Amino acid sequence: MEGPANMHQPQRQSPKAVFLILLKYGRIIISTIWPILLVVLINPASHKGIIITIIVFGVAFLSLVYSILSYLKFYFFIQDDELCVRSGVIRKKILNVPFDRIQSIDFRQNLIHQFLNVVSVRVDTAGSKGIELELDAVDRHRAEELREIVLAYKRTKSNSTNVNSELLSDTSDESLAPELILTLSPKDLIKIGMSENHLRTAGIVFAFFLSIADDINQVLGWDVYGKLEDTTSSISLLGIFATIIAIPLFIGISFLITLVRTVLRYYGLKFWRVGQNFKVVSGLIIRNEKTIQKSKIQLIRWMTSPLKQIFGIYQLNIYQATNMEHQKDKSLVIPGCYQQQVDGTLDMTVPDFRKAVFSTHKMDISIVIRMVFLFGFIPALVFGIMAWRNEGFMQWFLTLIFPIAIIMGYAYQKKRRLKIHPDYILSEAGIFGRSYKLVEIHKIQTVQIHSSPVQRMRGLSSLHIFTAGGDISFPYLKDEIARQARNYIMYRVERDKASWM
Amino acid sequence: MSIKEELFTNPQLNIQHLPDADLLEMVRLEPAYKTVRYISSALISFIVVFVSWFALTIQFKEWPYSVSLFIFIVLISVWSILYSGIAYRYMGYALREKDISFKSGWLWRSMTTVPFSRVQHCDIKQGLIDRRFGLSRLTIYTAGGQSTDLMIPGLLPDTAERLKSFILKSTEQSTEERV
Repeated sequence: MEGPANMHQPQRQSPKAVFLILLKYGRIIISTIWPILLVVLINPASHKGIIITIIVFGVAFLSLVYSILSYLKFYFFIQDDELCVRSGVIRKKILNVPFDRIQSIDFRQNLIHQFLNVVSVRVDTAGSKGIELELDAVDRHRAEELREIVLAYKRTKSNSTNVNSELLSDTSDESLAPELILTLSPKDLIKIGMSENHLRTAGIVFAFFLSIADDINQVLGWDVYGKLEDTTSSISLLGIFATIIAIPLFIGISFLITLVRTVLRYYGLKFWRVGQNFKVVSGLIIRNEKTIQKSKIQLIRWMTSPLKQIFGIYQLNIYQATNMEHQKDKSLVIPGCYQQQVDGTLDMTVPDFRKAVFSTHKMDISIVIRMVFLFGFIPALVFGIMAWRNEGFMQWFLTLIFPIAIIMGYAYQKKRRLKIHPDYILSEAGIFGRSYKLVEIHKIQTVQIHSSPVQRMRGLSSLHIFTAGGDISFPYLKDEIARQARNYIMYRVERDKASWM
Repeated sequence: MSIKEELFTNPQLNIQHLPDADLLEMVRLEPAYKTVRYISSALISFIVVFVSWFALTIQFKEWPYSVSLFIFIVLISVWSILYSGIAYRYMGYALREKDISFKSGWLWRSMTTVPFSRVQHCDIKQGLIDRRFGLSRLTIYTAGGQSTDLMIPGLLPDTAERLKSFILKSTEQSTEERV
């Protein structure tokens, strides 16, 4: 590594940044003027076409000049434990971000970044809306150097201020040795892709199909809906044939899309522990590198589905403190973990968790009645009335949702559990699969208790526990237990001197 | 169920003896706030009834459907006005040394408890109707997201100000203790 001293000198981004900035502007410009371009392309010979071509070239030239200028005017450096950026072609802009306020420094690479071996750096801060600062293209080693300086600052800071820092006492010796926890091979990717939630993709595909059908209706004057209705409602041979072909095709398309999405998102995923941080690098076209400080973790979730169970894999999500809009963006998602990796990660973050003895609380059986009523009885009633009025044979099948809802309601109630330990709260759920959410009690922000008239009649209430990185909800819990849990959480949160972030 | 349920299988401390936020005496909101609630829910109901009447007379002329739907909407609106008045009686806040709780709702009740050590910031606002009746509302923000922000309406401006400074002072104290 080069000496960190030169980070204190104002410096430009990598010269390759010009290219990326140009692309950025180019994309914005093209996305705004594409209708004009389309006209030119369709009718290049017209008189108007020539003028427009000139304009387009003019704009392109200007944006090239602007890109170069903004590259030349963009400086970043470190000064007095602050990350500073000086920029602006016409108006000068100066931005200072104190290290204390930096939440995370993440790297991102799209294909061009990867090709040029540079990264875009995103610096997030606490409390503000989203990304505070973005550097378009920085040489990889530079970016890492920058991050190391910030992290080193944070380490010394927490060492000097935390009096009872057993957590941080061993940081110095192991801080820089990265430990690879998981790496996904192409085989793993296929396993993950096969076991993803295909129903969700099917929903998206279906919605897409409907929107296209709408467009076709409008543009071509075809009545797609009418045709569909013809084929589905008449029990003709053709209709049945079409359905038999359409359903597997539909499933096949959904399956393929999920697989492609999985590969794009998780290609070459590597999950590391670097000292007191977790790091995940993944992605094929856009390569993301995200880091979470262990102390900033608010909630850990791991889950498996029946399909995932066949392969014995879990998806692990690690949530950190952030404003809610960016929750998805800022959490670490590690699919394809085996039990061993899940356990290993838990051991590193919440050391006593796996040895902990929990008191277990179940959901009251009356939740089944509620679920069956909402998701079984009412839909079945609606479908039943529809079938009766339309005399539709197929629609009677839909009333089968009622018995299905009963079975699912029971399965849900049976598997739903709230487990409480003096230091942790664990929520278990899943009808077919299994999903776990874990919070450390001293990270809890707020507790809410709700109750409906029905719940009160049976002495029940719903417990909601909020952290800065997600929440745990547990309805239909014995009121007494919910209140005791709330009182205990408050007791702990108000006495515990440990910081929640 | 005969077995006495306990929070923990091996309690380190007696959970039953922890201070129970539910046993606190709630401070009721200002009586004028009841009027504010009536007015605001009446306004909303009026708009809903008016719009639906307008829409129904234009769209559907078949009387059994449209009239029964309209009557349904009117009933719901009247109910919501009455509910807002009744629910007022169930609203209140309770202050402890280290946290604040807020209760609301008549049929669907809820109680939110926020420890001072988790408060991010507070603000005091006055709605249009609030101002007419000389009331303020205090909102307490935590990092737990929007649904956990605690809003206490129907406070006298002076009370709101005092509450706010007490909370902020306590928050500051707890951060100092934490170091």
